[in-house]
Amino acid sequence: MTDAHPLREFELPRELEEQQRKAVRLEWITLAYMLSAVVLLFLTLGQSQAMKAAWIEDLLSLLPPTAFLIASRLRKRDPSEKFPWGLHRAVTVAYVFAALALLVMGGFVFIDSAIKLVRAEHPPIGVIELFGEQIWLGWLMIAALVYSGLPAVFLGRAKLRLADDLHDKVLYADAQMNKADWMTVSAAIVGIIGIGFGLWWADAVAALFISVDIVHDGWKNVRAAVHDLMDARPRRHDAREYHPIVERMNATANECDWVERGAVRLREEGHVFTGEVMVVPTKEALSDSAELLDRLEELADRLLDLEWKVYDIVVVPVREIDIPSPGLPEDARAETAGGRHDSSLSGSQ
Amino acid sequence: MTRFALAVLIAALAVAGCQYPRDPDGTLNRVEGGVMRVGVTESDPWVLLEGDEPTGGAEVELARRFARDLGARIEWVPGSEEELVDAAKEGQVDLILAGLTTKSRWKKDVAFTRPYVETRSVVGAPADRSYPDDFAGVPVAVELGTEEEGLLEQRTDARVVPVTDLASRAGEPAAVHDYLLDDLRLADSGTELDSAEHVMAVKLGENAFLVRLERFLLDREDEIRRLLVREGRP
Repeated sequence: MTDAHPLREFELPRELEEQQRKAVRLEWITLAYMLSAVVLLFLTLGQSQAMKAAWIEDLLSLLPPTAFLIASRLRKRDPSEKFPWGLHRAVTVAYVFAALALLVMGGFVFIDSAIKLVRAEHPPIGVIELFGEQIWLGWLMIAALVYSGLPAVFLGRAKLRLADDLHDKVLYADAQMNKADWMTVSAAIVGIIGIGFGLWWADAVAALFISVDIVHDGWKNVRAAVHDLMDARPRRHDAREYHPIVERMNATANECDWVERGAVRLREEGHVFTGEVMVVPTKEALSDSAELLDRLEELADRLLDLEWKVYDIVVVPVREIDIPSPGLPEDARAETAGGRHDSSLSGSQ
Repeated sequence: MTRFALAVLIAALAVAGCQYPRDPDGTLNRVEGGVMRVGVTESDPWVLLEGDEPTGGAEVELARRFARDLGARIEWVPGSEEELVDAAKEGQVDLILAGLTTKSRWKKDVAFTRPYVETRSVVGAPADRSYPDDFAGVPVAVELGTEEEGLLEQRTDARVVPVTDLASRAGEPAAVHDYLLDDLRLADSGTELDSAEHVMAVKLGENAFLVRLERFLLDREDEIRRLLVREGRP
């Protein structure tokens, strides 16, 4: 058995490396900004539970950018004896952390507000002396919240754009974290204004509604991250639908006249996909093994050129195909031994 | 975004028009020109009781002035701290005076005002004599069975002399509250044993009442100090 084993020089195409640098810069800004918000909120905390929740949320939102930055350092490392596949998966691990942070944040907000409502907690907000002026602490809290929440809107939007270009799931989860951030912040602000009107339940109710949305986002992302670690069929970065690349590769492989049947199996390793292409060569192709080698290599190159995300594939000649693969031509799939094609797995979720 | 900007605007307009923040249970509106129920627990020199009536104390005097400010009549409710906190939770007591500090365990059950005065426990010594930094071997008087007695033992090498009446040893080194120094003819030696930030407590969430009380207290820092020196006199 022979195989062709091409490897790309760069993990990302050159034009995307520029976007990646932008994303790294954006995440550094996020990190610095969130840290300053954490300090500011801590100083205005007072006895208020609502502010404490906002503070814990800000602490949690430090996690996705941190994970992203660590992963973006590790992902490009060359394969070593210890990590023979390189460290592309660092990005997937970062995605798990980012997704978990989102889910935990949603769960925390939900439980926190539910407890507040059940216990009928009446938050006390008094007066603070600032530069010789006596100010109702509520106004100061709102100012601190606006400071911590407003930029999240812009950072989140910018990240969403980059996540689309880079197909970056960590960035995508972080953008959703920013969205969750400003939503809870506006809930907290509405809550404080409500408290001022004597409506002690205002912020708990607002936060409860928003937490459902955050839990939903978090759950979706945790699920997607775990699927990635389980080597599930690659999905687009927003997890809405399967990545079309497997079908395209199957079509390309089966188009070759020297290929009787071919089947592709891909897994996600962070930004990139790796996997195997199994081909059953025709009898004529098998007669000349030197030429077969050339053909395998040439097929591997063609498949790599289809999409930048396909990073490292192995093309293997086999006697029969025993892996399930979506998008195989009808006749090929029918004959596939053990190629249990699970119809529930194809198409969008 | 625009929606909550609008909410802020509405709130700002509301503030211009009427009371803000407001009380969920309307404490301030009820107390103004009415009756303020003040819970008291003996705590020298903050609250001094004789039977069920307070006879003096810095917090009692402040509460009287605050009531005058509100045009309210005071109804005193004596009780233990726990009794008063429970009563406040149910809205049966509007204000608690018990020499509370920010370190109090009732932090989560009642709303504390911002600290209105800070006191320190220090080792006081006659200004004209000098002592070693840690008062090694020096007899230092301290009131028997107080927190200061323990702290003096831990933090200094002084020979601890527990007494029941500090005034009898005026002019000799003693561990005392800073507001007593002048009366005992002592100066702060710079050795601090403890400090406390004093607060009063109201029902949780009664923010209009809380804010009114805090504004009253914050405007009177010097007055409170003088009051403390007078009420604390041994």
